[in-house]
Amino acid sequence: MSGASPVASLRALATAAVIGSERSGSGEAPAKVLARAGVLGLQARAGKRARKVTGRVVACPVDPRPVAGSAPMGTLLRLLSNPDAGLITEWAELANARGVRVADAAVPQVLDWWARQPQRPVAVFHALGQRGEWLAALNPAWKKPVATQEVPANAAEVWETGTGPERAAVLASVRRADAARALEMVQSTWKTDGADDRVRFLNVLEEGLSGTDEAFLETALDDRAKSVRQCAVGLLAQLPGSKLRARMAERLAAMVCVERKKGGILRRETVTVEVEPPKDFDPSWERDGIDAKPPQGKGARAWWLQQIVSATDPMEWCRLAGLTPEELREKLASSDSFKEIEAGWFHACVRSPSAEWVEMLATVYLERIHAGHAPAGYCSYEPLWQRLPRHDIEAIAIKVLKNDAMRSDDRFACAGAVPAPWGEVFSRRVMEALAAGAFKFRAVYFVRGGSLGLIAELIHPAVARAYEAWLLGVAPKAAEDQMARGEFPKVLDRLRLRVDMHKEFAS
Amino acid sequence: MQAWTVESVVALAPDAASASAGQALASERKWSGIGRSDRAVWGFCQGSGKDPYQARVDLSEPAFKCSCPSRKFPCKHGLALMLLLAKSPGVFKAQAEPGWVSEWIAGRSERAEKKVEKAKAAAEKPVDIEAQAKRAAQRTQRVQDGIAGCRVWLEDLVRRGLAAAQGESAASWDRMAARMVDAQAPGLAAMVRRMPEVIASGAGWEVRTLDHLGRIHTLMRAGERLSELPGDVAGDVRVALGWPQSKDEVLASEGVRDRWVVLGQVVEEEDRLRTRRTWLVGRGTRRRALLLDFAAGLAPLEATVPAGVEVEGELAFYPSRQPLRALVKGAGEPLPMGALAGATDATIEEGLASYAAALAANPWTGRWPLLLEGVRLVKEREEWCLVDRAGDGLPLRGAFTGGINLWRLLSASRGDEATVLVEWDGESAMPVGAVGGVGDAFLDLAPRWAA
Repeated sequence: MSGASPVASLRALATAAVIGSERSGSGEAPAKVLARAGVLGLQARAGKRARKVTGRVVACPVDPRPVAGSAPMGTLLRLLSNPDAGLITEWAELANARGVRVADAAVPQVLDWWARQPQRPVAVFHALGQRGEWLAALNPAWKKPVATQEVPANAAEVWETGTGPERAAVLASVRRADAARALEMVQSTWKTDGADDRVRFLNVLEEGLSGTDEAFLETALDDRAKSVRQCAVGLLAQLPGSKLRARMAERLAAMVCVERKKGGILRRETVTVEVEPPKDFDPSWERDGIDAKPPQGKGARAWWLQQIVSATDPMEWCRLAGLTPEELREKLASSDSFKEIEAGWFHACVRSPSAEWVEMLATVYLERIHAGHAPAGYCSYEPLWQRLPRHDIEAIAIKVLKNDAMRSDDRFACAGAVPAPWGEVFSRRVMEALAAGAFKFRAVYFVRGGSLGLIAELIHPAVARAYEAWLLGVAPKAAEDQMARGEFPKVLDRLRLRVDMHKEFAS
Repeated sequence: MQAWTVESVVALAPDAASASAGQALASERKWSGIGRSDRAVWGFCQGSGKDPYQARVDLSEPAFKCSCPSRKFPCKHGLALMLLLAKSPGVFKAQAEPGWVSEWIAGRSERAEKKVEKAKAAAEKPVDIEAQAKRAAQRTQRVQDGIAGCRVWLEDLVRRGLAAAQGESAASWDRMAARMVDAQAPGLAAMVRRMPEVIASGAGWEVRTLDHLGRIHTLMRAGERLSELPGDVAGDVRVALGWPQSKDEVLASEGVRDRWVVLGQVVEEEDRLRTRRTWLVGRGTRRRALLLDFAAGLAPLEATVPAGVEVEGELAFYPSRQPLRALVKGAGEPLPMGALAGATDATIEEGLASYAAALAANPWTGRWPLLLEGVRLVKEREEWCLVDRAGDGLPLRGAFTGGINLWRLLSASRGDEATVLVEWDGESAMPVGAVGGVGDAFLDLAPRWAA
């Protein structure tokens, strides 16, 4: 045999064999070809050598945080085998609070799950510690998109030379550390930045927005690009005491007519409120983001009205009329423009929420759901909820729970929409409402996403035992129902799993 | 009685889904009427049916029975009961067996006794050496006749060219494989059945195809000349052909005593046949051993030593010029795994040399275990490999680098050195177990983790 390596010889033999000995005219007997292949293949396997590798992976820095105990780790792996975002996030929050992290060998599984979540919960990533950061940097699929808390050392350089999203990320980190400095950065390149970037940077300024930013935002109202103007309007409308707000309040006052009369036998004061949509488009409105041209199917005057209401602090209505949100709604319900007014309120509430208004609007939603006029579900609360402090959200939900005039499933759906984590006091109120029999048992509440299931996920662990007892109380009813029979044990399981999880971390 | 661990119970599961379902049910709350005797455990588990399921386990084997309708065996209830026993044995209070447990066990031992009697009767029957030789000769003849036709077909294929092999349908390879089964050469049949996959393997397919054809051809030639080969060589050829081997004979042979470290356990499923490979390394003898178990369909795999422990025990090796496959003759309690120094392949070169020596002794050697010390995962030119202290690197199998286990090994070892057991086939390495990282803990890298 020649001096070529078995691997090379086998390759040569195979190349020749593709067209076959018949046509290649090699004349080598097929049996001989196969016998030689057998020997060469064996030699190639036996003679396979390692290849020299010079690179290396930079080792992960040591993580001083201790690893979570074997009981919580076992629970976490069980949660991952049938992933449940709420429980995994809760696990991570508990771990972070205790200053422990996920065990090394389990980090990739958790990271892989995390990377596939639409929200990518920060608490979960944090619980992975150094190992998570390190692995995420090595695997493109796990790359961490969330901006870090610290301002990167090369912030100035990135700001000068980076792409739009990179610059926005740097800007966000600077904004958190030093709001005024971030504003200076935006102004420093404003004249040369493209419209997309200008919008991007304005959006970053939403965090930590203050009166200091107003003068600059006012100039942005004269921007060439409509998208930039609209963005600036959005920010100024959020800013308490801004000139834009004052201008809007003025425009609103011009449309709203409040009359107080004393009359009748008791000479009680009665108030009438009327809204007259603007007759003409004032050219000064355009600068404040008000569109002259209505979308198709909408009258121009109604459209101007809705936009003005949307950009005005809803509390302005209370000041004008001296009425509560409920009273205003009652008085205006018969107005021709009520639809536009209400749509404007929702919008305005997201920009400048106040507990009274959110409560009123939340009730409106519930009534709509009840009457089948709104898309079912409580997700419609979310934009309103997000703007309110937890304390207010809980206070509203408790009021709704106690409102006997409403259907019990609507009431509990409202409670179920209160975001995690539930406080202990609020959890107790929900339990009291349940125990007081405010709840008419219906199988549908057990179905995944139904309110009883949601309560099991959200209720404070200190109250979980009481909830478990309540659930066991309705167990016989659940057993009678086809739909609830299957779901009831799952609800109970999740509740107990949470209780165990808290216990595992506490011990 | 054997002390059960979570790992050893999980190893009994027919698939990953059953294992995780069992884990979920392994909580005291899910059960009622739990009890144990010196030979069994039992309990009631509420399922989706009206009545709770009665699960019982005969601990001697263990054997399972449950009233649930699952076709998995053992079912999740049986597994859960055993997992609960492993995790919190205190939950099981010793008591008299209820009727539904004792009757079942009585039935089982009756059947077992009958089996033993039958085996005893068979053993007592004088061995008809003449008849045995005649059967062997018949079998040899049948193999030779079956092989001859197929070999000619293969050679004709090479005459027409490998390009023609691309045109052959999978059905024609299956037909050829069926003929090998008829010829009582299931080992050859399995090799033939893999042909379509090799042909369709993309760039470089012609080299792999000719290599594989060469292997099949060589084994066929060896099979045809079985009677001319020296005894031990013929023995390895018979194994490669897939002739059944008597476990009893192996167990009757002299065993090798050592402290055996269980470094990896892989379960694979193909055509409803589950194969379990358990890799062991002897501390004193430095010998490598492979325990092979099979289970068809939904039948359970027999209980065996779990990965990540070590046992004092005796292994009986199947006769071969390069003994590897073995049976457990006797084993003590599983003990926690200690440091591995001394039993490893110190360098990749040393490991590859052991594989070359194994091939020289038995050219039909399949997967070979390399226990590589001080290796790191390194990514070079977009490819991950295992690199030892001398800078020598082994390519890793795509099934490993494309899955989560690569990252588990990387995470546990912090990117630093670890001791890794790989299955080596002459082309790429498949890690199945590792020791490294904090506290030198064992890391199970068997593919079932990839799920």
